[in-house]
Amino acid sequence: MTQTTTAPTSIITPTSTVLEARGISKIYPSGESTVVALRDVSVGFEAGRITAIVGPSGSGKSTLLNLLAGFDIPSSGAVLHLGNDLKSMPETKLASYRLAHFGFVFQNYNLVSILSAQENVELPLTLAGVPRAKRSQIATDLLKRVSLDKRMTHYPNQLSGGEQQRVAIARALATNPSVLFADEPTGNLDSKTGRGILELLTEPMAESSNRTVILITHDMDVASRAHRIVNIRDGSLEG
Amino acid sequence: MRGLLRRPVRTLLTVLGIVVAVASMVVFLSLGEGFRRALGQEVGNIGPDIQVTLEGSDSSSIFGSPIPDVPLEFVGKLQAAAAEFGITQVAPYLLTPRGSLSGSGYLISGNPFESIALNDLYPSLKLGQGRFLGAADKTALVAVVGSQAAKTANLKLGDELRLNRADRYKVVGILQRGDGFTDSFIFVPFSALQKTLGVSDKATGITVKLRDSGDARKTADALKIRFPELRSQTQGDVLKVLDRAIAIGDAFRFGISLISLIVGGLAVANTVMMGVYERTREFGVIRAIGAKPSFVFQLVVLESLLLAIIGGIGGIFIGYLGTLAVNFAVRDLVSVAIAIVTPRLALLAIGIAAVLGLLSGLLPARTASRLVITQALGRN
Ligand SMILES: Nc1ncnc2c1ncn2[C@@H]1O[C@H](COP(=O)(O)OP(=O)(O)O)[C@@H](O)[C@H]1O
Ligand SMILES: [Mg+2]
Repeated sequence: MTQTTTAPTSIITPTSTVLEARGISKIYPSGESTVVALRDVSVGFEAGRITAIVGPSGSGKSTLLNLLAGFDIPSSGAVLHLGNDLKSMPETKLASYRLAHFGFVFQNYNLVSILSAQENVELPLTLAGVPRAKRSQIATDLLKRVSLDKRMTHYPNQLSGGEQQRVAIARALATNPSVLFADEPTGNLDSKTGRGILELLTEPMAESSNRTVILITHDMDVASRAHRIVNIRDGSLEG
Repeated sequence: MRGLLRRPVRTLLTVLGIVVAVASMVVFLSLGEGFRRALGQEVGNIGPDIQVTLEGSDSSSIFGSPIPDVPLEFVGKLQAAAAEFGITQVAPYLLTPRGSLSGSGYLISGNPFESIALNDLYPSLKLGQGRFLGAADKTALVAVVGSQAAKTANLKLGDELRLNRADRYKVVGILQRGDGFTDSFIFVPFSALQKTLGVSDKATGITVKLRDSGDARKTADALKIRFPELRSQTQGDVLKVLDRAIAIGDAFRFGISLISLIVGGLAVANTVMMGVYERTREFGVIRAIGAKPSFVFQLVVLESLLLAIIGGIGGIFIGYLGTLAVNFAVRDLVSVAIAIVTPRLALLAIGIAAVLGLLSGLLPARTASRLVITQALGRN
């Protein structure tokens, strides 16, 4: 599906929408009452563009990302990836879909502690059934690109925060996903290390300059590197 | 998988739990296997084609009632029918236990050596000292003692064995150690034992030899019709009865070991479940990346299975050592290896360990595969 949208803050010419939220809301039960974490949000993300989602803590950024990434299902509304409604997929199919199309970078790295750097990068490929030789090749290339080719056999607890996040980026890119999600990827890092991570996330990756990047941050300096900034406050988008 | 290695102490303890459970099961069940093997050899050795006892008498013993109850007139009746049934030899026997059979007892066997010599009756017996019994010993107070019985009754060649106040049997032969129950037998002449026991017209049972052992089943059925008051059992019947008795014992012992197996299974379930809780975030991560719930489920079940099978293998090994210890401990009481780890027992143990692992893994696996991704990942 190709559809042209013009987001309010877009500074670029209309292009093809890869991922789209249509009027999504998320309501969490909270004791007796409920919390409306997200209220009727509609937003599209274009191929090859980096979008920063910014807003204060508790404004609903992570909730939005979880819904866009298919980790969770919206209370109402729909999330469409290339026209496919994520809500209509059973969990098994959705898992395969995430594996095939999405990559993830988290604030606290979330490497699997019992796997080495290389095994962590290979993990999505292993899940996808990629043969060993090919996996190893891809992981080696990616770890070289994040300058960790000398730490391939190290385990997460032997790596610094910045290094772990670089492994996580390599892992997120292993399947060459069409959308890369990052939820406050520099949140746990000092500003210098964070800048390095950000460069990796925002540099046009050689094999796919067509990748869509969705980046959550509350750091305006970080946001300024994006093609476009989406502001969120109290669960709603701001113009 | 490698998650198990993260908590080496807990994992080790769990594996040990399984090891102990499986080992105790192996030792318990090995007893039945040993008996079964010994009986198979022994009854094969004794080899009366048909063993005749009184129908409706105490059936708890395969050799016949403890009190001789088979009228001797049946010896003559069977002999009269010998040609018709292809019978080559008919011999009554008296069998009486002394002491407790389970531990320090032995069996006094009275056989008519005037019609068949001891070494013909039991061709597999080998003499250690002295001589066998034969035709000349018709009424003499003489005894040939099995090696185990010699030990329990503390008898040497030339000693006297008192069976009642008046009758002292002279030990004229000691048998070599065999590997069966005849080791616990003391053989004396039939007529002598008749007098000692004060029974003149009854026997414990009658052994019948056939021209063709292959006809045993058919002949036993035919005898049943001719002599409805007698019970004619073939070797196969005897084995079947023994096997049933052992099977009941097996079931009982298995029941006991089941308790420890269940405890072992719970230990595995606990370890795997705790492992799942500890790794909630990591399971969340691999689910987020795109692992299907079924993948996570299999991962956890496999982990549990691995734990149980390693424990099972260790259990068979320790259980094997246990049977050696059991056999060593009772070596003076019984001459056979009563505890044996047969291949099928080992297979059973592994099978049970695997089933245990599988079952114990189900609940933790279900928990792990149903994690809510956003909750498992925690809040950023
Ligand atoms: N699982 C949950 N259960 C209940 N409330 C939640 C849950 N997740 C988030 N919330 C609430 O939803 C709102 C938005 O949270 P979140 O999306 O994490 O914000 P952000 O990422 O912008 O800091 C907050 O008020 C938060 O407390
Ligand atoms: Mg957040």
